[in-house]
Amino acid sequence: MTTKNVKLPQKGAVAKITEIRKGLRNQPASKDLRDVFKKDKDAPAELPEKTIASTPGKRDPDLGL
Amino acid sequence: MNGVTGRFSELASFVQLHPASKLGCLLDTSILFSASYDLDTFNSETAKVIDCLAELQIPIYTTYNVRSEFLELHRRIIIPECLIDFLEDLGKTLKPELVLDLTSMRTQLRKANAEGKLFRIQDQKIKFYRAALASYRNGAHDGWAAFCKNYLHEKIAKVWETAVELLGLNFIGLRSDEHDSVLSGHPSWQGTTDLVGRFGIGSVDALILDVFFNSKFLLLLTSDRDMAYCIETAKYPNRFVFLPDSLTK
Repeated sequence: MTTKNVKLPQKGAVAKITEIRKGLRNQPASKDLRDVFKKDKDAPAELPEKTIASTPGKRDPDLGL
Repeated sequence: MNGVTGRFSELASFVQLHPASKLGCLLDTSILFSASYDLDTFNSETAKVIDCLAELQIPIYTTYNVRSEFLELHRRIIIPECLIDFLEDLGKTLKPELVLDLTSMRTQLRKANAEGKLFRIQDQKIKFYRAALASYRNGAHDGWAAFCKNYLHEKIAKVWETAVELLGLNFIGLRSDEHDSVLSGHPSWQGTTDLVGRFGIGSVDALILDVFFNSKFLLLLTSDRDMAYCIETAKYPNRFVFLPDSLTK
């Protein structure tokens, strides 16, 4: 990386990141998505059991930040 | 300053006394995440220190591996947000058990957000939702893939792109020949493994530290006390770590 290619942070960057992130919410459901979840379709399989999450002694994958 | 450890509020005066620190500073995942998520405990302090770096025209460096940790943290925050949008859009078409589960998660998320707290779910819970949504199908399309395409894909990409662009992130890899202007040694997997063995820290943190110890940088910013401990204990000459003020009280 040469010196002339070095990028610099922008002042107010964190506030702008928050603003952009919040603006990304609430995307409407597309037609493709609605078609997959049409109510009159065949009933889906049963919900999966929470066996993995509730296994005692299972390592917590939390990154811990 | 306490030895090699300083507070964010002391950074500007430190840079005045140590002009060599203007070459750049390293950031770890904890600070990049704080900068990108407003409900993180250190978001406002990180905002101030990033502004300080911008005013002083100090470039920010990090390693490529930080990206995977960053994306993983955001994945576990953004997916529940997307699932709530999904519930509100299509809840009437879902099985009652799934609606009940998603509604419960929505209550927890809203409570956390109202208290100014971060809300994220574990990977096992994401797997549960993947299986539940994938059981809905329309021809070749399954519900989980359609959900991800509609709600998640753009958001997760934008969060990373925005951070890279606005924070002006510069990346250092283990191919040290590409970074002669900022490296004084050769970061390596051997050095990274050595730091994991000496301090018991995570591999991504160890990689950043190995780059730091083999760089010409004086500064590393973190909100992770483990990182500060390693830098204090390793006693490399001219290496300083800065933490949020609220962590050093």
